Amino acid sequence: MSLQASESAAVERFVGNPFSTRHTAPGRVEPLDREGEPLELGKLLDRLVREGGRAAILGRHGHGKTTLLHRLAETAERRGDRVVRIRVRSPWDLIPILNSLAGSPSDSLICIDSWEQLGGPGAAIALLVARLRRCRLVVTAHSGGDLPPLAVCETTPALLAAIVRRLPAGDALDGGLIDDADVASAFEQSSGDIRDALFRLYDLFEERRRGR
Amino acid sequence: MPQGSIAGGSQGSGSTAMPRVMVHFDRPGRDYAPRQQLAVRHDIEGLGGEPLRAVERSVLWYTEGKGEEDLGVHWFERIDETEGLPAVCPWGEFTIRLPMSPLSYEGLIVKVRWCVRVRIFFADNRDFVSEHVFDVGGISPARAPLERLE
Repeated sequence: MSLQASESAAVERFVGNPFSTRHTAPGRVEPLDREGEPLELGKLLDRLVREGGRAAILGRHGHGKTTLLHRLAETAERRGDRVVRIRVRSPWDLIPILNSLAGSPSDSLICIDSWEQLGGPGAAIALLVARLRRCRLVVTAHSGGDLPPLAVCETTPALLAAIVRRLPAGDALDGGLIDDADVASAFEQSSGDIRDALFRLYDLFEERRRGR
Repeated sequence: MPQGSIAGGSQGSGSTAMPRVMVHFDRPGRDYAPRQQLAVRHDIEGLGGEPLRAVERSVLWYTEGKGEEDLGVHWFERIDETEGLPAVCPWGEFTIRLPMSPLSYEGLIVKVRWCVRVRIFFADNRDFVSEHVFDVGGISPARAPLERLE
């Protein structure tokens, strides 16, 4: 066969919108602190043990709770822990949570996203069973309730700028389609909701790309 | 792209190799027809002598937009250390036949893209992914309503 390189990798351009959910969905972005520096996930897992094995990741909508939960789960798996991940969509999801707790060996890490969707009674039951089963539990919630905070997710313009810098942008950003002022403006218009800000930047990128 | 990205736990290993994957397509414009044969050669550089566990090569399509990503793997091959990994590193090649669909599409709400993905697994559990986009089908990009009126 005759193989030709259409472009060498060194000069190959990024194809696509760097703000698409493919690159920005929860878990795809490295968890960063409010200054835009990487969080030390191993230390957070150690802190979970000190907190008694059960704690909450707190923060408002779009502030990085799910991203942090995903990456904590991955870090625990790489340490050799058994990890169960559950996303709660309604109080009925208590049943699969209890099944997971019943089927998990002690010291498993149960990661539950959107803890508040369980409702007060459901959350209390899940917490009780986690204690009885001696499973570790990390949840995401807007407020902690009975669980101590493991981390409080806060956002800043510096955080959004750091996330954008880490996207697979190639020369798309350096070339001027999106600049620092756009990122700062998206943060302000989204009132600190990083997910919403990234959607705004997605639209802006599309608009400008088509205008070229 | 290439969309090179590295993930995994290298804490404590002290290794910092950032590979570079070059993919060479048999059609210079990277434009293919449905059911056409696709021939690819890939070269891997910058391994820095780090031991590898495996290399995965795949041909897949994915959606891109603001909603959840959809993805379909058309062809996949994993080469483990025990199965002659040195033979494909730092280079390898494969030939496959593309399917009838989906076709590449540059839509307003969603896009469909095809790519060759090369994923390198290091012995220390890090992995590196590189994706290289090509087109299937030759569909024109969608135009926004305002563009049609002009």
